[in-house]
Amino acid sequence: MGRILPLIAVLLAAPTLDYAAEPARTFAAVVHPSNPTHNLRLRDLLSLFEGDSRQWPNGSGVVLVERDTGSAPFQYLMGRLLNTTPGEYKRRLQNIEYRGDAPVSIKILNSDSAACQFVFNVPSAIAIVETESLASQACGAVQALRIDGKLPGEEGYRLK
Amino acid sequence: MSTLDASQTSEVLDDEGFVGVRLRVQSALFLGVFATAAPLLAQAASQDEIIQELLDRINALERQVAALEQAQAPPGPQVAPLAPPPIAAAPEPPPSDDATQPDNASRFNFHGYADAGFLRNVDGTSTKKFDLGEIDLFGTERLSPRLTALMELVFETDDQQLVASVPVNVERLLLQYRGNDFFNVDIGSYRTAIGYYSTAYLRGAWLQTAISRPRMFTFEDEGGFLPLHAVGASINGRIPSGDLNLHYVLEGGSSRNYGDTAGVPLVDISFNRATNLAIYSQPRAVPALEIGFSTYHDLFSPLAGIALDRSVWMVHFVYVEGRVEFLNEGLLIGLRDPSLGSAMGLGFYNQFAYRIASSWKPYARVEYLNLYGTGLIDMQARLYMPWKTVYTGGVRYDLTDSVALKFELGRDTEHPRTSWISSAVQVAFTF
Repeated sequence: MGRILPLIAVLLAAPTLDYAAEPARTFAAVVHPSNPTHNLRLRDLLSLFEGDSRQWPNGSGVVLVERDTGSAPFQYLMGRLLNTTPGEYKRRLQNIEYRGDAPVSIKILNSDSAACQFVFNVPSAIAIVETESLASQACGAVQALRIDGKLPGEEGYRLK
Repeated sequence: MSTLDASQTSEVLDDEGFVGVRLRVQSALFLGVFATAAPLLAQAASQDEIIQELLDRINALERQVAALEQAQAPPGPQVAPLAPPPIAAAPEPPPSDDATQPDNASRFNFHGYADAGFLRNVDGTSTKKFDLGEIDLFGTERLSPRLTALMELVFETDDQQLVASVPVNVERLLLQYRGNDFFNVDIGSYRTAIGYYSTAYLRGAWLQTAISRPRMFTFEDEGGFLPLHAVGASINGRIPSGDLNLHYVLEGGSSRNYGDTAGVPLVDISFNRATNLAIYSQPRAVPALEIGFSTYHDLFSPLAGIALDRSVWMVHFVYVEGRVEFLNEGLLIGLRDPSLGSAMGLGFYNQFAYRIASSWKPYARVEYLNLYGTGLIDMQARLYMPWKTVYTGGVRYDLTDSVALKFELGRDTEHPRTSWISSAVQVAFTF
């Protein structure tokens, strides 16, 4: 029993250890400049990326733009924002489709610039990119959303 | 599926007005840019640098104009998002499909699920065997923006006598009409929305956390007593209810085999005049929570010539968020006939799973069912719904995004047998 208890403690603590070594980074949710949504509640952002909300208020279907598996935005999306793993996330999205609902539209791209460029080309898309990428030319052409009323860099901004 | 809160958004101009304003503003913009560029040219800097600076200024000013146009736009009807302005002034080729299409933009979508494993004493018969599970082929084809065809075929290998005699089960075949969030219709062979588990985890071992399903949701052809499949129509959608976020499902149908075995004794089980109403809430304040109930009624025929009034009421309380999976369902089932007596079953299950580290998900489940009643129906119902308590524990390990390894132990108590312990190992995957 004396050996088992520390093992259990380590396993239960594991969730908090997963991303403990990550350096402090901030992220931004970007959409097309013509998207009438300028502010999202964090809860609604989660709802979009979990596949629960699949339409913008104007009726257009949401296209999720995600980064490749090893990237910081993807790890942030899985580990912090959705608190899930790529496997469970895949299971969740397939289950939505399996239950008879329309599939969640996803585009996976290998750089923040490509993600911003895609958002620029597809007005109903939304991507999560690193805040420092907003200075690039491609990301300069898209709109960073306020999350719970805060823009990246403002006090209390939650995507970090 | 829901839509984001429209109050968070602002209105935009209609297409025609927007394009007019845009052309005028852009003409003035270009004139302004060239006027301010004259002193730069006079400074005899390199031509390339000047061109680049001009392009940068045009880009910056265009973004400002777009922002100003949106800020000053009068209220009007919402329209589809406008075509984006070009990033650079130089003409560019139109974006390729890869630059504008989601990865799963095909009209046809397909997923497959399969599993294999090893079972020991699963039915209390001391049998140890390798087991090829089922192969589930699921596909949808978008026929039009509002119509979709859905088909799910299951190859049930557990019944096969020879390699070439695998029964093929048309699990679902639906024509789906997606009107809007509030009104959708499915016609064909559907899964009844009784409780939560039946429609959340239909087939496909990879999709569910555990190896075994809760006993009350055992499929009909494997001895299950709930009517999980029907042919008919299902209407579903949201109910305008604010933050309660209510949904409804209304179904009407019969079993596929109804009428095929009329007059033939001891052949098959069927039902007719099945109606089901399910209402559930996914409150916006707690996104991972779902609370709901369903009430199902039909004429149930366990033998040709006998039709019992069957009712099934279920409630569920489900919380699935991040690492936690907490499923709870309660069941009340009634069978009644004026001359044969009646039986009532009361049951529930609770399943809890918690992911530790990144890939391990231990789980535990408790199930209970008790029956009481009168007359012949009571005696027969105890044979039809024999189990009483089931304790299940196990762990799921996700080897990759598409492959899961599961191990499970169970302890069953069943009327009138003594209890037994079973075990199973399973590899489940999707393709």
